[in-house]
Amino acid sequence: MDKFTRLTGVAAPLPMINVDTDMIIPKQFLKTIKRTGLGKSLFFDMRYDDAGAENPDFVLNRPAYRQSKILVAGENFGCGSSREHAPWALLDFGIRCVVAPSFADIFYNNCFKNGILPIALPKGEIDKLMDDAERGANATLTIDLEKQEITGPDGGCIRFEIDPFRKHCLLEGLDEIGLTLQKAASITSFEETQKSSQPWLYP
Amino acid sequence: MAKPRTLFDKIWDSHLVHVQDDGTCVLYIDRHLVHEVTSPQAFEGLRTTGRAVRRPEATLAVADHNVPTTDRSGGIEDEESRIQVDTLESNCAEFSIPYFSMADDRQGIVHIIGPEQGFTQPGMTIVCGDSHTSTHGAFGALAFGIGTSEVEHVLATQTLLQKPAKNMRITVDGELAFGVTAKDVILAIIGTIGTAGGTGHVIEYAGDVIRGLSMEGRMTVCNMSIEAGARAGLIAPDETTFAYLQGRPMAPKGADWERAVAYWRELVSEEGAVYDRERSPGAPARRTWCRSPAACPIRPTRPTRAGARPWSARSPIWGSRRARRSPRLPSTGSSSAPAPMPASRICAPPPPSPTAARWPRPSAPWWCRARG
Repeated sequence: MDKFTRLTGVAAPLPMINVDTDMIIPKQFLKTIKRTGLGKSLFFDMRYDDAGAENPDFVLNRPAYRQSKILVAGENFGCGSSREHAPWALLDFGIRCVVAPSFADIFYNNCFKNGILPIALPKGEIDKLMDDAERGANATLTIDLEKQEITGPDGGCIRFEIDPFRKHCLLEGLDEIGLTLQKAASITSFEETQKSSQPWLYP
Repeated sequence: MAKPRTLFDKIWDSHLVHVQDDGTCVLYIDRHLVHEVTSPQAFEGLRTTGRAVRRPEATLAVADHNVPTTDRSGGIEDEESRIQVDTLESNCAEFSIPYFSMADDRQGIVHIIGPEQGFTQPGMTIVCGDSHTSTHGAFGALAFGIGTSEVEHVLATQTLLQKPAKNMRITVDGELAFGVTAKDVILAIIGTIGTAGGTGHVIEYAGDVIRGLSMEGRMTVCNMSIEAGARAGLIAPDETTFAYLQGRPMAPKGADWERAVAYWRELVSEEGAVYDRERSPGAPARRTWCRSPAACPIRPTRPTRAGARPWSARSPIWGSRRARRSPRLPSTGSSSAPAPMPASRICAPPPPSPTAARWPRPSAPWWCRARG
């Protein structure tokens, strides 16, 4: 996983609530056995028309936002299916950070496993960032994870909260499985105790 | 005296392997269900890092989303779907994971085969790369959906890194009127708390109405916990649960059965246990007609087009487009949570469309027409 330290990029506004993972990457693209290549299908139904041509009105198709690295969205972002294809698609497009008033739990978790930083902020702050994002190519935000700060195009600064362990893993690009395997002895000891008290779990 | 604990607290506490200084827990996972859509990249991860599956026997795989709903004897026609199912099969063979193939009588929807086989049991922690894993909560198991990176984490370590969820209890007392089902109960609950009302919480369903439901009804309720945004749903196990499980192929047998039931009977929230949130919405009086789980008022009749709150009112850019486009490949995504839903994906009849005229609608809905 790539480290996430500091990110500067164009922020795209997506002023919609309840953006579910099927909107982020529709079900027909889940038949892949790879993690990559999903970026072109990100937000497929909104981004393309029925004939497969780009919808010029959709934010990520507008010239100013084609290289966006940040997404500013409405409440309950990433609800619905647990598909990790949603953060994979965002990442493959180039989005490394999503800012919204709230996120669905599974999507929020999945972001951290892929080096994407989801930032939850109060609605008032999101409204300001949404305004900034509407400025097109001038909508450049800088996210500093170490300082937990977002700096806007006019120098305004917003602080955000994040779980310290998750911050550490993102900053270092840590492999969580490797970290857990360091506790293999504790896992074995747990299994031995559980096996003696609940033998039916070990048929 | 120890603080009274909820059912969630009890299951959580009994699965803690390690707690880090910042409160992050290494949580032991008793059972892991795997299907073809959310697992190939996890197995690939194991291969590239040279890691093994820690407990193949605690894992059960099934071909699910890509199985044709039509005749399957000729295999899967769609190439990508076929590759995904073949990949699951070869991954299971390579990592020695029990697998129900498409030709196996036990094959079915991933959330259903666990209960059917007795693989799902009270007090367990159960995960699967599918948001509707909350279904297993009907048995008093802590069950939740995970992403593919977490599928790989569980395969390699039989654990997950988690922080405890908050406790919510929803008590539904009263009696269900004729024709009102478990689906109406959960839709009414979501109508009360909203599609993000359960975010960060595990919802325990309690009350007379829930106690009176069959296991299938309880699974229906817990299944839709994700549509309320909750991490999981839970219903304390009771005689209905035990009767359902007894004799199932993977359920405990003999002395183990007696011992297990004695343990399961302890899996109830204690008197005085404190919940972060409590709601008591009461039994829905009538059958639900809805266009989104967030907008499910209990109505006596089907809403008219003019009277219904259009989805497009909630997300103006999206609503009309999404309702217009039909799923392209119906063989995928069948059991992934589509929450919150646009018109026509769940209980509500589809909105009038030019094609509707070709499908004459019966004068009464199916559930109140005479049988036979």
